[in-house]
Amino acid sequence: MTTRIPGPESVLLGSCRRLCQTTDHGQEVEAARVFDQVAALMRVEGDIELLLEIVEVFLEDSPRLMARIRTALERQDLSLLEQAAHTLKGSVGNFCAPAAYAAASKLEKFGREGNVTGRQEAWNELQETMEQLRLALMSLRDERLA
Amino acid sequence: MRVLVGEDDPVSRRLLGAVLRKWGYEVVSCTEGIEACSHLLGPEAPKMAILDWMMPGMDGPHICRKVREIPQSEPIYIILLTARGRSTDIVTGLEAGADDYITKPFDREALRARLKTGLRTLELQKRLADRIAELESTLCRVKQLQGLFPMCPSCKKVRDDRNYWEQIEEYVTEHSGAQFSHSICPACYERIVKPQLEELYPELDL
Repeated sequence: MTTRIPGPESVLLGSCRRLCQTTDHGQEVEAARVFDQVAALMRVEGDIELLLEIVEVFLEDSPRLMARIRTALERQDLSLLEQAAHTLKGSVGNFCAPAAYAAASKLEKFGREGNVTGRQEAWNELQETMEQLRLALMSLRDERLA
Repeated sequence: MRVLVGEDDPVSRRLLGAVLRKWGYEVVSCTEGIEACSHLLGPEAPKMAILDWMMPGMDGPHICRKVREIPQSEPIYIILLTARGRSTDIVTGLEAGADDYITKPFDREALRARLKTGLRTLELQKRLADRIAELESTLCRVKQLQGLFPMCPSCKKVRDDRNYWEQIEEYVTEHSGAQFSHSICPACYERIVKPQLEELYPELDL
């Protein structure tokens, strides 16, 4: 028995179909803010294997970056905060994840400008959006493996 | 064409590497600024580099300055890649010596087009360098001809830079590419040729 591996076009079409089948427009927009799967696939020209490869790298590496940001906040090390948040922002940007991208940008700005007010809220926001992104990426990976 | 990718974020590094390989480039990756800098200053330096702005050890603009400080036999085309998108950052990056700048997350088509621009620029620079070398070599030979060279006052032979005596015609031809034909000037005609002709053909009225 052979298993048919869907090509890039069918993966893209499948993603588009799933989005179109979503009845609640608000949920759809919210999901795209966490992880815009269609846009992410288009960024890799429909190469799902490449997307899954960078998903694995991200799932493995992002806790390290989050830990660096937490350390920077605890030590009030602005330079480290700017650098770690900047790297995370660049990493997240590859997945078309605007919510986590915006949260990382906010912390990068705190590091660059040295503001204290709102830093904790920004950290909470980053943790929340990163968790949502990780879950969405794990779901994509598991769906593919199933 | 080999391209150096200097990027500390493993996700961006993997993605960039895969995309570049797909386009036919050979990729050399590194994660730290100092490592990227030593690659670019080494004897087998890639002729193109895509460098992240922020890297541990040494940032992208700092690497650009270091590379530009040292004269290269062949130029290196450097593209800065970063999530910093403010115009002041772009100016800082270009003034540091970067040839181009692209923001993250990178647009594939824009990156591909910029790499092609880089290849064209490198090709033009190489052709220009080859032409300059050719002109310098010619100029060098012309200078030798213009310089001081010893000539025998009796036979008019010239001593060349290998200490051989040669006819002035040979010397000039070798050093300038000029060719000689032969003729007789009016003074020599009167002094040498005419008396000989008169002796041989006394009946002629010369």
